[in-house]
Amino acid sequence: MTTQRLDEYLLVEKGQIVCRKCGHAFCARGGNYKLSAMEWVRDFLEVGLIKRPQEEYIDKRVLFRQWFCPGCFTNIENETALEDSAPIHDKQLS
Amino acid sequence: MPSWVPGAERFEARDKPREELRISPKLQLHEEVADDLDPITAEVLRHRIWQINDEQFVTISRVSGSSVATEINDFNVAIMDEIGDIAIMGSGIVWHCNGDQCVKWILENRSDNPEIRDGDMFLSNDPWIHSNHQNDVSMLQPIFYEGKLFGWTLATVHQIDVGGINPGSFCFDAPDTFAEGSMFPAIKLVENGELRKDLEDAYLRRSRTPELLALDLRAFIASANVAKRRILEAIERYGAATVKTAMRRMMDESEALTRERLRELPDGVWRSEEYQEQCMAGDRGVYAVRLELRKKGDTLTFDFTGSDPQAGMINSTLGGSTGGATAVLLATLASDIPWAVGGIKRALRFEFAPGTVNCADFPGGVSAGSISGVYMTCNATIVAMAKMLASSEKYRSHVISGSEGSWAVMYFEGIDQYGNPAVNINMDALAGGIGARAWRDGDDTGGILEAPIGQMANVEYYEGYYPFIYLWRREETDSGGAGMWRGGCGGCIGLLLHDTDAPFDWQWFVYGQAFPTANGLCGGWPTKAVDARIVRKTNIDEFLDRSEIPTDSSELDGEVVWFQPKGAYKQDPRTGDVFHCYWQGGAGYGDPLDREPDRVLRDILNKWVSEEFAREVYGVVLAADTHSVDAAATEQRRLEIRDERRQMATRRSKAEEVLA
Repeated sequence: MTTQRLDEYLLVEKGQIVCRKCGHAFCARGGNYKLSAMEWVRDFLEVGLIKRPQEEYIDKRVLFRQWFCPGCFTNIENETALEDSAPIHDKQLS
Repeated sequence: MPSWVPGAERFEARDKPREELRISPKLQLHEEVADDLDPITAEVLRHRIWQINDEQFVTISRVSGSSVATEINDFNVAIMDEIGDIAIMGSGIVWHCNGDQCVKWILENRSDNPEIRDGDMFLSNDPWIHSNHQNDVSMLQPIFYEGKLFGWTLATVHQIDVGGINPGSFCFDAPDTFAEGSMFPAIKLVENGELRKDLEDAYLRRSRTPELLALDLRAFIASANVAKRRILEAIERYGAATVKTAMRRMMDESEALTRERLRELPDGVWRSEEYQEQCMAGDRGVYAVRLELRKKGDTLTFDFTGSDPQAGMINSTLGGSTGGATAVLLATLASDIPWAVGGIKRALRFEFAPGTVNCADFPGGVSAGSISGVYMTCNATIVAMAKMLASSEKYRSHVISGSEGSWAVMYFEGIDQYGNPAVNINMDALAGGIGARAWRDGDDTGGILEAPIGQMANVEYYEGYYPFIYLWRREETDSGGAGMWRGGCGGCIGLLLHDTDAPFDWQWFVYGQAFPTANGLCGGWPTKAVDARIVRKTNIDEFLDRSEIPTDSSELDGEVVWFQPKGAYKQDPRTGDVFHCYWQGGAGYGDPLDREPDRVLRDILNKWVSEEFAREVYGVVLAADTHSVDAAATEQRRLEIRDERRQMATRRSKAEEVLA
């Protein structure tokens, strides 16, 4: 099999994870595509998804991470994550 | 199960195979099966058992007087074989599918003393045996035929209050389970067909709402009696071995369908994380459930061993969390497979680490388990499961993004308009938003994914029984997660008190207030986080004098008190205080820039999306008439958003390093 679906925007093709829209190659099949995607870390208050500042509730920060294809800048995945935590390696075909 | 309390290990959840069960020889199991079962009889019996299960469900809601059962459907029922494997279950709260573990515990711990006999019923709400939290009380009834244990009926209903330090029994002030509601580890409450009054008193004594618990107790018994009578009628007609064979076949077929579906999906690993803020009132921490979902061949493994250590009172137990993960599988991958859970679970493996937030050791606080540790387990599973399904062209249609990220609990207590004490729960948050699918928008105020027939009560119910005036109950603009397919909107209420002078106490328990907890897929955005407030000393009388009703608390003058995620707040009727709560919607699927502009226009016209949000996130600009899309301006705006992404985003690693 040379092409395998990974999700809505990503394929595994010839051993690499590639963008279905523009063909940009992210990483090897078993790798974490997020490490080579473009990342925009945003504050939930700034994007209007929380009503009050997080410091009213918690000591840590939980952020809105967005990942974009470096080729076409499609928003390929998002995650809610603790500040300084590693990007979740969320999809890994055997 | 490590615990500093001597003997605690005896109450651990047991999901054992038949051959490992240690059952007293005093109890004879009915294990005979028919040599052959023709397909027509098998189908007739499948539908007959299904019908019995429906009648079992309806009986609860008809007999109970508690709104949780009569209005909300916060309960479920099941019919099980002699060792508790579920042949069929209802479509109420699906995570109650963990009742099988309680039957196995009863078989091992009650078959010798006090023995399991015809006419008995066991009441259990011990979370370490199976329950999601102490409020989820189960009644389990053995069904005997010719002296042998043929099967079991199960019903689990959320009880309004089972004691503990906080009204409603979501004990956010409790440091451990000793300050929480009472636990009953499978006690024989009905013996030889008689309700034991001494044990009923013991059960009701610690509750603030004993009259509601007593009503549900009668509903439990009525439902069990109906189901038992119908099963015995089927046995009389078809023979016990034939009915048992039909039940076995139901499980075998559901197992086969589940395994076949798993085989068609690619092998792989999918991971997700779910956070909760504050482990009890006054805490400021953040706690994670982490899932590694591994699929190989026809087996699916849920590995939660990376979850954070247990903390405060937000934890769940092994039984509850297993039920939560299974419930999501039933609602997504197996949504069109008959829910003979005893068969489906054979294809599943569960791994938990003792002492973690979704596998708590005794006596950790678990009073909010159903909507904390279990719900976090569900949310983590929804995301990982959806990512697995999204990898398949055939099964991407089963993808559902994160749905109502949390279940906002709104307990109230006070004096009602008739002068009586009032303690109950407002369950409007049951109408959360369902996440987007890979091919259509999520359902607005569609409910909770793991509660397919859960529903909010009529406004008139709450207004009739309690001193509330609903100023508004509506869908919340911009609460559906953005995406190529939009998540369903969450809801919002505004409540005013009348005809009582006594302040009402709100016991507010939620998570997903400091950040949203229904997460999107493939570029889909999360929903908007929960919020709640009381506006004190308002000018609501001015509105009412003008025969006007506000539709948002921002229209009112007054002092705004924002709620913490766990806490108690007073609403004073004498000063026109207004309670305002919004609960989460569902998350989106796909890049919002890929959403057809006409769909965004429809969203704006229906007030599901604001013009500002449409412009900023979807890149859709309306024409001057505000009833059509400005195509050129929209194209330009979407280019601007892509440019903004280019400018703001950075790369963690050099491309050549990752590709190597």
